[in-house]
Amino acid sequence: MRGKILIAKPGLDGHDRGAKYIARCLRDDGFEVVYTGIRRTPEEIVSSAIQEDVDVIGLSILSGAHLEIFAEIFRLLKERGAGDIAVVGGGIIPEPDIITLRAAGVRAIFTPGSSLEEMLVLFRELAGETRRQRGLITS
Amino acid sequence: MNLTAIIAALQQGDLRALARAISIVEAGGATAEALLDQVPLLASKADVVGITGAPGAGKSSLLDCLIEVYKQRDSRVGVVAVDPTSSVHDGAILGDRIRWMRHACSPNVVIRSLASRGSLGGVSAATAAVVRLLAAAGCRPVFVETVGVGQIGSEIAGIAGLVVALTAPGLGDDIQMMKAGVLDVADLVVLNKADLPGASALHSALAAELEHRGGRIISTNAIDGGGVAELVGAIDELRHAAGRTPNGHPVDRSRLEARIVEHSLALLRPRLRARLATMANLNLPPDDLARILAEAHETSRPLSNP
Amino acid sequence: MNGSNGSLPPAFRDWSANVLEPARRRLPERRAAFVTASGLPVPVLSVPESLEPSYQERLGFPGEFPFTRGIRPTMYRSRLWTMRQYSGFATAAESNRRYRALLASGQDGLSVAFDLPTQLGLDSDHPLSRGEVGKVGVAIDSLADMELLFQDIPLDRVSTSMTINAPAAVLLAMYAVVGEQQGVGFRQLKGTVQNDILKEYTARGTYIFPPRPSLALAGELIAWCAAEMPGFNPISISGYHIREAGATAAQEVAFTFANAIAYVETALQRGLAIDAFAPRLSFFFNAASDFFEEIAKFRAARRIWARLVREKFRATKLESAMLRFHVQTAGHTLTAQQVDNNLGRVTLQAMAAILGGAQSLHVNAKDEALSLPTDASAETALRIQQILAFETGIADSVDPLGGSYHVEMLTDTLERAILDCMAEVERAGGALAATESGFIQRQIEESAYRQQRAIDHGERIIVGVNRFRTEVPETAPPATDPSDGRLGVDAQLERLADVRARRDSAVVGTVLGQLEGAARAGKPVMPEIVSAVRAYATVGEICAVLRSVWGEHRP
Repeated sequence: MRGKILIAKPGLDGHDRGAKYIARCLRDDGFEVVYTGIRRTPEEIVSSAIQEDVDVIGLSILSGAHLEIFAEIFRLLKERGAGDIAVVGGGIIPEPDIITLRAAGVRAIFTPGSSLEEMLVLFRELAGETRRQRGLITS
Repeated sequence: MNLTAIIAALQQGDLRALARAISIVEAGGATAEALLDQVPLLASKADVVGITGAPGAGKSSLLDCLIEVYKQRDSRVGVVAVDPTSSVHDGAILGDRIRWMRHACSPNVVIRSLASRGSLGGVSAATAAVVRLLAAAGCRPVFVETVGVGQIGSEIAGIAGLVVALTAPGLGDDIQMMKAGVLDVADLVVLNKADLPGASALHSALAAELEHRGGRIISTNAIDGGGVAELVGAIDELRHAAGRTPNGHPVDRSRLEARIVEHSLALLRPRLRARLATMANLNLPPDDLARILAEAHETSRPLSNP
Repeated sequence: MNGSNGSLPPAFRDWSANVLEPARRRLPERRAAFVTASGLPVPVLSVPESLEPSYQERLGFPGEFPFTRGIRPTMYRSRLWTMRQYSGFATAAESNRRYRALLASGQDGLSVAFDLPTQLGLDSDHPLSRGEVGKVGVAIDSLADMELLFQDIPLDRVSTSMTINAPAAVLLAMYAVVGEQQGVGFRQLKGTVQNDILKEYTARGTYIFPPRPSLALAGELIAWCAAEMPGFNPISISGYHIREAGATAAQEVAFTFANAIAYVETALQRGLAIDAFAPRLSFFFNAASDFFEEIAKFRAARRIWARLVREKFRATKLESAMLRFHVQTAGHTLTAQQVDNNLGRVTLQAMAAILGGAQSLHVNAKDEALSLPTDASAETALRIQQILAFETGIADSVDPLGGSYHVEMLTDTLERAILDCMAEVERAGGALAATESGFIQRQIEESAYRQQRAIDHGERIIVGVNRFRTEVPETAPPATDPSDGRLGVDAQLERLADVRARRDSAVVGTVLGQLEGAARAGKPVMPEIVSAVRAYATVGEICAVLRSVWGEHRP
């Protein structure tokens, strides 16, 4: 078991093909994946991530509301003392926004050009990092 | 990591501490043992309700209705959902929570998804301990939804004081599957999706099967909530009955035996698995295997008398 | 072949005299004579010298049952497909400006895309609408927005296509009332409303209520249109999104037809006669990259639908059995890498749609995988349609691939695969039960997983993605100007507040109460929705009433 990931789709759009595919690929790569579905509010995402004690939150955003959503998620994570959970995002996100989001603490943004392999490598790194910090693995 | 602080916090109802404690217990090993040593044992299993049944019977949807009822009460309701770990990849999709997202922000609902991590009995090795942690954090009752398995879903009886077995029309050979295991430990049998064709035939078949075993059948429809109030009434009735007598509600001898066996196996399994995991390889002479089994049995002793 | 009349089979001559010629008289062909680039004659239809009995049964002549070769005798020789490019603009005022420009340049069909809050029955000031107002289409809260959207556009002279599903009844009622304000009766209005709620649960995700009451509402809208707005297509049953979600070509058609059966049965249960509404059912399919499979898919779909309507539902009108469909090229095949490659993809996909006999077509812009298309790329998409229509000659002969051993074999193969898949849905209890149980969702998900897996493992080649990559940095998607949409959002919120302040709130309360009463009693809700719309009740308020009665769908 490489780690535990929460995959969610915030925002109102309902296209979850990519999110579901990533969830299955993470499963195939040895992760335990909590899939929470479409139209999730930041509140629901953070609350679920805390109860599930996940290592990484992966958000798929296609609706264009990414700046508002990530900001709210970071605010809630910090407020509840869960700032150690790594957050990554995927979707059609313009370059200047990627810079803004990275500066705000998003660990990685995957765009339509990202390869599956680079995504998996990053999830492994981030999950390992979080789990080591939490003392859940010693190596 | 300060285990005492984690336990103190979780007993105050701190969700982050509870979640971390569960992760520690899931990871197993000495830290998990040390943590569990400080967590009170369950006073009674009467508040632990198992939900089992074949895939497609509608366990998650029905549990969604039950959570909606129990979250209105004074205490928190706990939910443990077990999904299968892929035998090939070691990973798992924990997809039950998606059905319960309307409760995600409710302060009265705590949900935890577990992967079965190699256990074949419908729950994970850590499930019993996770239930203890949820109870310690004030959850009454705690629902445990098993992996959707038919024949091997009876391990839940070792954990739950009350087992609800679910079936629905159109699942195929479900009566046969239920006969072979789940019905032996079920206190309540729920016929879900009772509006679908084939429901009355299934009801007759279940009634015939339960005639000499005893047990009650409740028809529900998780989509419109039909029968849920009756099910809640039956669950509460049995919980209270179980609370009054140390042996729980009246069960016949064969069912009691099945419970004892399941309970013992649930306790033995993680020890045995941990011991086997330390072995470099399993190409051993039969004598050595017998010795390991005996040794594992020995190591499980301190826990088998809770 | 059919160079001289002497060698033609008698059936062809019969068709020519009894079907083709009357059709030509009603609707003349675009040109007096069609010739190749070198001046050689192009026949309207090619047929074998001798027709086996199975020809009539499996293919038929164009415009004749089972319509495998096309639903019209002359197809594009008389009238080209409608080039309908779907687009969304943020505000009602901006959309209105664009619509009027399009109409001035000769276009006669409008296509309206709504933003996500509107599609989900939420007003622009709802907390969940934050950041989404006007993002993927126009925001409509009340009749006031709809009035602005169609200001100075004569609704008796345009045909309007509205991509709206869960709150379709509300938006259609608004459109009807705006028409009325212009002095255009409901019966004179022309257009299409998508109103295909079942595929929202399995593929597109913009559902509100649970499947059962939603299906009943869709059925009510079909019946209401048949009685009140006979010039409107009350539903566009869509495989497009099912395919985008990951279905195979056969699954796309099979799940679409399974949904169509559910709508037809719902309408029949309301007492409608099949021939009273079947000619108004329209469809919407996807054109992906496997060229011959897509062509075969369209041909097989026409044959299956014709037989289904006639045999299962006992339709007698010829029009009832005709599968009329819109096609959009496959968004999921566009790549972010080497964006210009997408021009090749959409061109071939559009060609498959034309060779497959589509009634209307949207060609995706090359940059749609990255962002909303730029004006230039949207224009090129339209130009591709025009090149295919006017330069290539593929529109000058009906079903030019008919009779190809390969295409006919594939058509038969697709037909079997579609029928097998439809039978599986039937065994799972039909479209409604198979949607509620998640059966269809799981099938689509499994196909999506397998296809993407094949790409990631290099078993399926995508040029520029897993083969033939260039190492030059990709162009990033253009930046969105944050102030850009903000002005529109503020204006929208202002107008909504203004409507709430100025309308007669007692009347709104009364009509919403009547709507609730009708919904609870299981009575028709459409008349109450029309009254609510007239009283300037908002989309969010009307949907909130229905939510309180019907509940919300939880996947």
